[in-house]
Amino acid sequence: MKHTYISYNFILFLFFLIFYSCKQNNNNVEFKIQKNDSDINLNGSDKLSIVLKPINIHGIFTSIAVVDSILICGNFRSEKLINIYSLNNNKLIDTIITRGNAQNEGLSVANIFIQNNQIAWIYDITLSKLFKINIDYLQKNKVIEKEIRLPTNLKNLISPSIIGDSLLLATTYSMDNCRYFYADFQQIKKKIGKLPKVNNNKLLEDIPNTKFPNKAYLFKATSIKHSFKNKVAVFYNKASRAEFYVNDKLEKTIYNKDNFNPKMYVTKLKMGFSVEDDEKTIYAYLSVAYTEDYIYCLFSGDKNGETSSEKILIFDWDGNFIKELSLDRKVSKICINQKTKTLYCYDDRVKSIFLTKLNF
Amino acid sequence: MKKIKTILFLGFGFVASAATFALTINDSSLESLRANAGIKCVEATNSDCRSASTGQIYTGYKAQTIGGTSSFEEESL
Repeated sequence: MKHTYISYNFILFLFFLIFYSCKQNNNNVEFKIQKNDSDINLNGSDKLSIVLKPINIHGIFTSIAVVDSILICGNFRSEKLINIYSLNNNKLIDTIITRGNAQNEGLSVANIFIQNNQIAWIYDITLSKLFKINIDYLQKNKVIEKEIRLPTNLKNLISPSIIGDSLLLATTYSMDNCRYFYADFQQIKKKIGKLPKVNNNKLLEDIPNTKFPNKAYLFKATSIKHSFKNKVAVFYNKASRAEFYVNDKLEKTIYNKDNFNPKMYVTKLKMGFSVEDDEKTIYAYLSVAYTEDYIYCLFSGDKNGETSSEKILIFDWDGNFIKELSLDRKVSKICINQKTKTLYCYDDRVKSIFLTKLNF
Repeated sequence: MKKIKTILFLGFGFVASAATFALTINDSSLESLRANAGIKCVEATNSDCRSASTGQIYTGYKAQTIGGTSSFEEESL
């Protein structure tokens, strides 16, 4: 009887140890963001179903942008980095920027920024280059008006917005001491805001001389600036959080109703830690487009880590939730024609462009 | 004889528990994860991959620990 009792307790103890061991060896860590009382949780449910119309433009694209009747697509693999299509007849007009490391060549189109409906800035994140393309000349000549090679301190920008002739606004993978910053093409001029505070902070300790601070990677976000008002919005990629700034002051922080934190795979190194995405990472804001009135955000929130979605959340520039669009297919990139209010979407499964006209 | 069996049983139980506990503590320290001291970039839409060795970011790829497919680089952290 006594033996049975001891054996029973011993087996229970072993089960506990095995359970504890398994739990501790799960390296996916949730970094809970410390919220403020003023943060807002979204509860909006105004949903509109949208049917997308296919257009005859196909390819493997990493980025898309639209200006008037021209669609500019960043190629993932092709010999030329950029395809330019006419939206009047969906024909390929031109291909520009040869893939390579040399002058006027590039490797990887991370972002295409349209300035004043006239200039396209192609951002090559791998080589830290910006190509300035004048739209007016696109149909006449193959024009790269200017190539700017960003210096080391401006490497690894995320979705830079170009303001005026020589100022950019961006978030970055390379700094964890601000939320976004202004820079000319040589150096940083002004840093704005802070990254959120999280628990498990010690697991974000960097390796010596790190090129990518863990916290900056954890809080990867896209920043956008209103075309003429001093309003900036920041949308997080791995947390359901968005921030709205007025005159570079944080005015509103909102959390989507899915409300999730970054979940990352953490590896202990000899000194410091490494954080990476894994299958448990949930993605939030995937792609952002905007007009003078509204911001359109492709949002995932999928627990299987999908980086495409049928959900578009619409906000105004003050951070007020307007509406949710429910597309009839999952897409991975969006852009909008400000004049015609036409939304263009890229479906990376069928590798095609789709569109819909918005009535607001 | 019964007492010796009991002592032996308890002794074995104690040693086994201590050994299991020691192994558990060691594993939970994250030190054991040093085995994962390498990443590679695999194709993935809407994602970026960081190369700590070159300091460059690649669009259209995501990081994956060694063991997957279609990598274009492998590096030691």
